[in-house]
Amino acid sequence: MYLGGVQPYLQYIFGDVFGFLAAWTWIVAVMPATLAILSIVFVESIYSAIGTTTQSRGLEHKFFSVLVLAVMTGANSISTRASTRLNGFFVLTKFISILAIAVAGLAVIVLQVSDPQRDIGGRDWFQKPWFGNRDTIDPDGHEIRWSTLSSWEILGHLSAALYGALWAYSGWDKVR
Amino acid sequence: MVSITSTDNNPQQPLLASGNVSQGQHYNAADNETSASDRPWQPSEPSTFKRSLGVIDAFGIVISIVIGSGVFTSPGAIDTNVPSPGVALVIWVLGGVLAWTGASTLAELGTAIPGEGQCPIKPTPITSQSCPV
Repeated sequence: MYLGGVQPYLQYIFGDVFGFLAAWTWIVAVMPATLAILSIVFVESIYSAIGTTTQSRGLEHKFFSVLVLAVMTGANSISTRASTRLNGFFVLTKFISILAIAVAGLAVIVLQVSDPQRDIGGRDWFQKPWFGNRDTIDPDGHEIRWSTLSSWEILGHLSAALYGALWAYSGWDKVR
Repeated sequence: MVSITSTDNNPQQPLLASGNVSQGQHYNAADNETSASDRPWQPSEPSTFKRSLGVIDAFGIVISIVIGSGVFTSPGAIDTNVPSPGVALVIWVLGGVLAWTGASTLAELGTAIPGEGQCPIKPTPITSQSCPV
């Protein structure tokens, strides 16, 4: 049985009840939700790569997500070594794509600075203020006009954004 | 990756076992009642799990978890909730700082409390003190 470092630490410091609650939350809520999100995101990314972005509510989409989850569970059940090798492949893919994004960004900056008249990469970062408010259209098609929101509402949006950032950084508690 | 794990000549050896601990030390019910809380937890029998992953494998897994697919999914969630790209960058840095506080807290706990960071599956005789981490 694998548990992260949080459960034994809580058990050691605060007692069995808190250790149990941590493990229970982890097994019942956190891990299943994370795996479900990752499977859905995986299939969504594949669909976007093909060029379809309107399928996200389809039954097909859900079926493929469940299939991905089942295949990954099966792979882990069959052999830890095999799934670790698969993991190595995914790490490589991820690093290559992150590197490609960074290189593309740097290339656009260099080309734009070397010739300010050149029309490359949308020119958004070059012409508009970085901290100037821009109206946002969220995925539901609802438009957010930042100048009309109260500071309390803006704080709510910023908290949601921070939560997204923390989701991206999550995993630091798995080292031990 | 493969070369690291092939140097393990004894896969049955528990991860916790170090040089000064005699192998196969078993719990003795008689002396447990007095001194179990004074000394580190000892596995009562050799682990049945085979050690099949090495240091580089573990490192790869952790890197893969932290730099997960979140890097590719979160920009959307952030960008719909911030008024400008500059604020989005600030949110990214802020998230990094928060994650760093958590990671360094766990690193501190990990070095302050010796052991593997995991509870044994099989409870030791005195349950409440079976897991000094």
